[in-house]
Amino acid sequence: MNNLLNAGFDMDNTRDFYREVSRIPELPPDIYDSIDRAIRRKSLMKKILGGVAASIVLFATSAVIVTSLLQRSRDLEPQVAVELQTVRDYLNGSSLDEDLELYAVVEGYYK
Amino acid sequence: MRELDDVTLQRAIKGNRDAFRKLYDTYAPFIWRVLYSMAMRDSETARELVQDTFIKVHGALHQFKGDSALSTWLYRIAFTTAMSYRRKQGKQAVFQVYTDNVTAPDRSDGYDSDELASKILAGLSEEERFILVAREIDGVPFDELAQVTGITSGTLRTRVHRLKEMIRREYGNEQFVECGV
Repeated sequence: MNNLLNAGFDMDNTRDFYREVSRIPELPPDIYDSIDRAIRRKSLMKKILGGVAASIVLFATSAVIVTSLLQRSRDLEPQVAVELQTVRDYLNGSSLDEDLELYAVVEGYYK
Repeated sequence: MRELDDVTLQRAIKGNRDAFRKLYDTYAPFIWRVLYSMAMRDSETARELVQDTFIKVHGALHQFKGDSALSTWLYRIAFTTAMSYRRKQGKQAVFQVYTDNVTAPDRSDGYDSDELASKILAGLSEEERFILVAREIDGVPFDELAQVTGITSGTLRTRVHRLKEMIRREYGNEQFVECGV
């Protein structure tokens, strides 16, 4: 009998518990504004960071291209120097013997 | 649970703000109820958790593939947000709310219903509070709860049964003390 009374009493109390737990205030109406602001801020930050990242990539790419062009011009330098030396020798007449010898070989006068 | 229509969902995924607002309006009340209970009925904490949840949802919406219902996916985000908040803040912070509530000026005449409910909720883990509120107050099916919590449906049934038993026992004991029985 006591158990039955207790069971009934517990059941009512448990109902009270669930009633209390389910008594929840309404969702505050201004939460969405905070969320919207935070999302916009995040999107803006993302755009700024994206812009900065793109600038860095652009700058790095430009730097690589310029460096590569400079390197290539430096690689060409010895060739240009040789050509210049050849022209200088010709103008100074210091390659005259070699030129005559080459002419003799080509024309069949070489002995 | 009412689900968002596909057209609005697709628009929200593509970044349409009005569609995202509709998504929020559809699911926020439930998310609020669950998080409010998980946060020991502390409005400020619950508010912070709801904000964090929907900011995460907005950032990850394009990853939603429709493998589960959108509500399940959202509850999972809310659940993990609350659990990670709990880890960051530590147990103390969450239980402080309960302590503040129950150190009312006069405890000699026993707890009122609200205090007793808070006391019992405080004795539960965040996970248990989530399971209890989602299942017993909002009637979320066990299968869906299993997807949200990562706990099998069978284990959830057992845990809910034990929780209900514990609540019945605890509530009964406190009321007997109050009545002087």
